[in-house]
Amino acid sequence: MFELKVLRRYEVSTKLKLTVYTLSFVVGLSAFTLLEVSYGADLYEVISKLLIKPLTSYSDFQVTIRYAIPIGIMSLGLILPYRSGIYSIGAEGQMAVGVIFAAWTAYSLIDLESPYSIVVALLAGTFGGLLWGLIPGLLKGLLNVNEVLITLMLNFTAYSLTDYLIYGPWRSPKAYGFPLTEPIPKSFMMPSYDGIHLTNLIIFVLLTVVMNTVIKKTVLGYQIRAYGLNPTAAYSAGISFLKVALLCLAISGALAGLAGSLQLIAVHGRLGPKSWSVTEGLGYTAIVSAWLARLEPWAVLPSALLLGALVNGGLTIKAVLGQPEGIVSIMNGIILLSIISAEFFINYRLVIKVGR
Amino acid sequence: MEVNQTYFSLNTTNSNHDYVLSVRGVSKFFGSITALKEVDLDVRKKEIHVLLGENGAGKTTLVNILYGIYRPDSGVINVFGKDVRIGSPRDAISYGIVLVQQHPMLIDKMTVAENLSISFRKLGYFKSPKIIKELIREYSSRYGISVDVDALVSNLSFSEKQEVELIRALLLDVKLLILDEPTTMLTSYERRKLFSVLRGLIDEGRSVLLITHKVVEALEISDWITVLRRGEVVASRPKNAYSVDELVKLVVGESIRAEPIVSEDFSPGNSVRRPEVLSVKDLTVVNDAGGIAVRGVSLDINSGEVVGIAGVSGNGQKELSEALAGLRKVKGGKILICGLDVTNRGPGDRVRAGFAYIPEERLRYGVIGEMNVAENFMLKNHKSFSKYGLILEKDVVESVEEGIKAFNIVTRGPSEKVKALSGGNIQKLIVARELRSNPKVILAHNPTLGLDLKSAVLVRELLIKARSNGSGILLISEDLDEVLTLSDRVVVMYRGSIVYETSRTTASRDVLERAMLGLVNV
Ligand SMILES: Nc1ncnc2c1ncn2[C@@H]1O[C@H](COP(=O)(O)OP(=O)(O)OP(=O)(O)O)[C@@H](O)[C@H]1O
Ligand SMILES: [Mg+2]
Repeated sequence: MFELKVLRRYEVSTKLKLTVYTLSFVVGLSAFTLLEVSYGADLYEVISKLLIKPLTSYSDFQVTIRYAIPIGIMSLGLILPYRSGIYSIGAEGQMAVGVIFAAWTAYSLIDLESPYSIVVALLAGTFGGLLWGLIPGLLKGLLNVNEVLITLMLNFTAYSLTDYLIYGPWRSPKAYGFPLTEPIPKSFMMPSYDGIHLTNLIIFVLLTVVMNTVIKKTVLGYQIRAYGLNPTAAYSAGISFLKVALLCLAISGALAGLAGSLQLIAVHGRLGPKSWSVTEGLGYTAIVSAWLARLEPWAVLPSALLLGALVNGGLTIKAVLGQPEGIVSIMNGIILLSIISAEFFINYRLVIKVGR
Repeated sequence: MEVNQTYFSLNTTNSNHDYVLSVRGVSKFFGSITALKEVDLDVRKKEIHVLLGENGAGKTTLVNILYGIYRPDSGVINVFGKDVRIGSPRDAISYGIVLVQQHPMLIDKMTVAENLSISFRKLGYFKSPKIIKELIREYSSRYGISVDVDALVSNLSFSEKQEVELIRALLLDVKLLILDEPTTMLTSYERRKLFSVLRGLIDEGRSVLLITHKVVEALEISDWITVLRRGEVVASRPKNAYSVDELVKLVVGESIRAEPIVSEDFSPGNSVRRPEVLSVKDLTVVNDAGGIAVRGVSLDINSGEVVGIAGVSGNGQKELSEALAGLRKVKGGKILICGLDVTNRGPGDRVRAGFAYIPEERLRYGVIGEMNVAENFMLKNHKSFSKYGLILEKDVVESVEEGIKAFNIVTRGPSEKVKALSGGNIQKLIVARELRSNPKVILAHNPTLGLDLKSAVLVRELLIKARSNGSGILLISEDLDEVLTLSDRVVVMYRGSIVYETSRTTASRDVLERAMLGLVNV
């Protein structure tokens, strides 16, 4: 006799939650490592390249930080809709639109001097992301349309818009036929110190503090949490759903736009297709990072760093071990799945009975 | 712990086999709160055992332990002479214990038959829907319960849902049926029916453990009464060994006033013409199934006046109150708050116009269980606790602490999660919040449901105070006595219409009762 029982836990301690979360992350990571090994990679090499080197070797760490910043900024934004019970997956598209807006200001205001140029580009990018977030915000707030579908479709729309620009009006004639745009003017590029973009890092850390305050101390944050925890009661108390939906999605869009424009002016300097793109799928990684942080703004600092390292390591593995293109997305997926299933093990207990 | 166990198992081995359940020294702590302290309880075969106690006495906690929802921190539970560990509801069911919780745990979007078949699948033995239907029919006729097996649960009244839970317990062959405050939402007719069903179960050799905070009810139904006060058993005797006065004292721990103080100016039709604060014109509302639940109801409520709607539950009160609160679309007619047309606008506009709502379904509409006491306290007017968009925590805490004191809310403090509060205290919290802002209109739907006497009196006094402060109150209540004590005018709702209207001074209980059953022509 073999029997499997699923029992609800009614009292859950913080310690248990923490253990289950940590374990689930480790399980997800191990599953991905095993997948790699089954592809013929060496176990030790996978672990070292994926997680250890990106965090320990200085030159790799610089790259890790480069990824962690946009991932973190976007996670901070995503926490708002997630906390209100709106499941946006639109950071990727909002980031892409932010990139377009920032690039557009750079190309059209060539004569603007630094540092105003940089500020203008960042503001424009933020505004672009905000606009892209307003669309699902309005649709959700007014008509209660499913936000997952809308934001997903808008991601593809943003990709197409980028493609149109890089294959069409913005295509550089000097790029040897590659669909790349002209590099943006020097005055628009963010300076870096020893390979690390200090300004970006400072912006990220400041935003963490700001978002922590927004969620925990402001009227808006309170209204957002109220909707997430009991929408019926929040509605009957007279809190406007339109306002909450609109602001959550607009702010998270704005932060994604900001992350995109930072990547453009600090790292990439030009727009390109697919694997040369500025967004690099980081908008999706940000979803994983937000949940890994359990929607706690301050916890985004470590979780973004961890995912930055994993993206960095994943790309190395892809290049060095000759793995397929989608390897980083697969890793994201596996980790997200395992931390979401942690929720199940936190709320339920499995009892296995063998024998009679 | 060790010592305890041996001591008590000695005790139980020579106890007689008539004990269905025997609890010894059960304690339960929630952080620093002692919910139960060294509780002993014996339930005999063929006994209706009443667990009596005030709000927050620990009744629900105790039965949750017996049903495996909580683990006791210490103590022994013995079922049919065997010490057992009840780790989950499934364990409890396997020992023949079934709990019917205060709020029916059914899936709204499924039919009665589907809901009941789930219990079987959960237990591992699958039965075909047809067999289940047969079984349900057989059981319901055997115990005099009449439920339509094909009805959607969302269309059932509270008492019908409760009957479904009873059938579920019977299908699981319950030996000890535990009911947590089963009568709070029942009309007196429904309550009598429930009691006769329970008597039937006893005759078959089953036992019942029933929770209530109503002394009269305990004396009416029980064979044995155990009184719980602040987590401790203060008395446990056969019913006849108590006198009413003594029992009241045991429950409350002191003697109290039973009737709310009625203020001096409590007479309708004062010469001053008060402004109209709520006006309902020819309102028509449909229920979830699409049928007409409220037909052409018109009402006017003036400032400083209480209008009571009496009626048997299920006659459109739920739909009426939801429509008034802006939670349900209106099919026809108009709703005006202080002259402002809010007919098909959301709750936000009403709140701004000075509308306060004490809902019947508290956990759903009234509070956010996962938030703490302070956060729930400011749910309606958090903006008044803020500056530049920042919440002024100190102000909130100060005002919550005031509220906790004034309303006698039992809680560990402003930062305790509301879902940890007992049912009665949750209601006090809602009333405290709604009355705080001096509302123009108060819609109170069964405001004292589930409250113990002391809290009920407090809430009624507060409503009267709000009336003196100029609020216009619409009181929808199934408790005719409550309607009669509080209202200046009484109307009776029957099948969605207002069938009778009278003033407090001329109201006759008899006529009202007949009107509630539809026996009076307007
Ligand atoms: N999950 C929990 N966490 C913390 N405290 C709790 C929890 N459940 C109950 N309590 C506390 O234990 C005490 C007893 O609560 P319980 O719900 O058992 O009371 P009750 O007798 O059922 O009251 P009521 O008649 O209001 O339902 C209360 O002080 C309550 O705040
Ligand atoms: Mg209770």
